[in-house]
Amino acid sequence: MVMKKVLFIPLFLLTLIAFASVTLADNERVFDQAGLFSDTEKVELQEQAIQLTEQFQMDIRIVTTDDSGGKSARDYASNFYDSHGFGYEGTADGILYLIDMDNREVYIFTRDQIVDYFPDVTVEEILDHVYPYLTEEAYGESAKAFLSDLETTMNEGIPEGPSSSGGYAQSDNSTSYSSSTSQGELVKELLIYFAIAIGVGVISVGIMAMYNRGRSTTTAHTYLESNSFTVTNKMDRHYNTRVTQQKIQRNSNSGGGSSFSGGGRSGGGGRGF
Amino acid sequence: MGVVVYKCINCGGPLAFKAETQNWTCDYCLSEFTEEDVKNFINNEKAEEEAKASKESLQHSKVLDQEFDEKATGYTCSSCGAEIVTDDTTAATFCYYCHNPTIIPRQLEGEYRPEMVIPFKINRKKAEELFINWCKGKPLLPKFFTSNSELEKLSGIYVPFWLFDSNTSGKIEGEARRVRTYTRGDTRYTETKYYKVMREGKAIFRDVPADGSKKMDDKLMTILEPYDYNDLTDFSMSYLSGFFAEKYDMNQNEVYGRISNVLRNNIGTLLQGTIHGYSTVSIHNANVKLSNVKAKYVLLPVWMFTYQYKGKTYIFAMNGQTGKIAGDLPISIGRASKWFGMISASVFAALSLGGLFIW
Repeated sequence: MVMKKVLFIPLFLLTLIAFASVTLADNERVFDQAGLFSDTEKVELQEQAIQLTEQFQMDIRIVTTDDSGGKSARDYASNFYDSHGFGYEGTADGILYLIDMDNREVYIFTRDQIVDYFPDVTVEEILDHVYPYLTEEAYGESAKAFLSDLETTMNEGIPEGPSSSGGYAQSDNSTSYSSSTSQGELVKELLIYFAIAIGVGVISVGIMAMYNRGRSTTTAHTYLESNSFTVTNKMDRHYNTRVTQQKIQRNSNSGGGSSFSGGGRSGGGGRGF
Repeated sequence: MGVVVYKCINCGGPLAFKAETQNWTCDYCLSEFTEEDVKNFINNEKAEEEAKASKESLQHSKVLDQEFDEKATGYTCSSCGAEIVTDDTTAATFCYYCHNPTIIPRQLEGEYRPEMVIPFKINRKKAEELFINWCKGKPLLPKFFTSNSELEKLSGIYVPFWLFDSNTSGKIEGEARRVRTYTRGDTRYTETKYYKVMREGKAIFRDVPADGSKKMDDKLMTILEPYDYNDLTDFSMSYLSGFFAEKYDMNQNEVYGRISNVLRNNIGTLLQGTIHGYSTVSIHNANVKLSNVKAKYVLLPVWMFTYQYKGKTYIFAMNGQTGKIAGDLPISIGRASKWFGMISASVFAALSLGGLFIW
C-alpha cells in the first residue's frame, strides 16, 4: 500500500500538469442548458459548488436540460456525467443534480465513493426538500437547497446501516468512520481468507477421497488399433464475429468500491414534478 | 457327474496351476510339470472321461429334480467321493471336504468353451502384499483397517470376459469460439469469433473387454482394465486348477450395450481431440456407426477380496495379471476432519500473516 502511494505521487503530479488547461476550462459547474436560472443565481451556484468541491474533494455539477434526447432522466444524468469525464482529481467521485424539463423530472446522480454518502433514504430526503421549489418553478432555489443539503450530508459522513457498502472514507472530517470501516475491512478480509482456507481444505480432502479408491486408467487410445484412426472429413467454418468493448477505468487512488462493467459505481434517485 | 481333478503323474496328488512359476506343481511330492506334460496327461484320460460323462448325464436327468437343477448342481469329487455343490455358473472350484481343486468340464462345453485365457501372474501371497501396500498410501483410510480386520476371503477367480473388435465411424458437429482481447486507448475490446466445426473419422478398436458375469460388479471390472493381451494363450482347462472359474451368464448380445457406449465415447474423444486452436468447443451432435463387430470369449484372472470392517463388507478386485486394484476403501471421518482442519488452518494462518505484514 505504502509503495503504491509513493509511486503514485509523481504520476499524480504529471497528470495534474498535463490536465491543467483542461481543468481550467472544466471549471464550469452549472450547465443551464434549459435557461432556468437567472445570471445571479448561476454565479452564486457556481461559486458555492466550487467551494464545496474543494471542501469535500468531490465533483459537483448542476445541469438543466429541455431536451433529454429520448433518454430517461437517470440515463441522461449518467451519460452527461460520464461523457464529460467528471470527477475529482483523477477519481470519478462526484454528484450531479439534474433538472430535466423534457421528462419533467429531477434527478440526483452519484458516482463511485459518493454513492456511499447518499443511500436511497438520504436521496429521498433531499428530493423532499427540493421538490416544493420545483413545483413553484423556483429552479434556482431548488439547486441552492440541493447544495445546502449536500453540505449537511457530507458533514455527517457515510451513514451506518445496511445500505452502506463500507466504502473508503477519504475526507479528513470522517476519521471516526475511516477507523471503523478499516476494522470492517479487516473483518471482511479475514472472512475472505477463511473462505479460501475452507475451500482449499475441502478440495484437498476431496482429492484424498478420490485416491481412496481404484481409478480407471483406460483412455480412448487403450484399445485403439495403432494407426487405425483417420479423419476423413473436417470443417471449420467461421460464421460470426462479435466484439464487445469495455472502458478501462483510469487508475484512481481509491482502493475500494465494487465496480460494474463500464467502470465505477453509480447511484441516485429522482422524482417527477 | 464328471469332474476333473488334475492328478500328479508321479504320486496322484492334486495338481494346481502356480502363478509364480507358470507351471503345475504337486503340493505333495513337489513335482513340477510343464504345459506339455499336462496336455499329454489330459489326452490320455479324455477318451475314458467322455464315455463316462455321456453315461452319467443320462442318469443325471432322471435323478435330479427340476428346481435344484436350475439353481445348483451337484457333482461328486473324484478324489474323496463327497458331493460338490456349486451354482450353475461355476466351472472351477474346490471340494469342500478334501479341498482338492476341482474342475467341472461340462460348464465349459460347447458355446461356453472360452477361446483364450490369461493365466494368473500374481499368486495369493503377492496379491495380499500388493493390497496391503496399496492401503498404506491412503491418507483417509482408518488406521486399523488393515491390521484390525482380517482378510475374510481372498479368492482367485477366472472371470468370463467378452472382447469386442469393431470398426467405428463417427461424425461430430458443434460450435467453437475463439476469443481475443486487445486494448486501444482507454477501451478493451473482446472479440469472439464463432465457428461451426465438424469432424468425420473412423477407427478400429480391438479387444475392448466387458465382463459376462452377473456376479461381478461391472464398475469394479472396468477399473481393473487394461489387461496385457500379449499373455493371452489358447484355453486349456488345466489353468483353472487351483482357482475358481465362472462361465458367462450374459451372452455377447447382453453386454453389447456397454461395449457400444465405450466405443461411442472413444471415437467421440478421438475426433474431439482433432479440434485445435479454439477457446471453447461444444459438441451438439455425435453420430457413430459400428460395423464388423466380433466378440471373443476369454477368461481373465481376478483376485477378489472381501474385507469385514465395523460390520460392513468391503469388496475389492485385483487384476490377477497386473495387480491393479479396484474398490472403495472406507473413509475415516476422524482422519478426514483432521486433514481438513490442518490444511484449512495452515492456509488461513498463511493468508492472514501475509495479509497483515506483506500486503
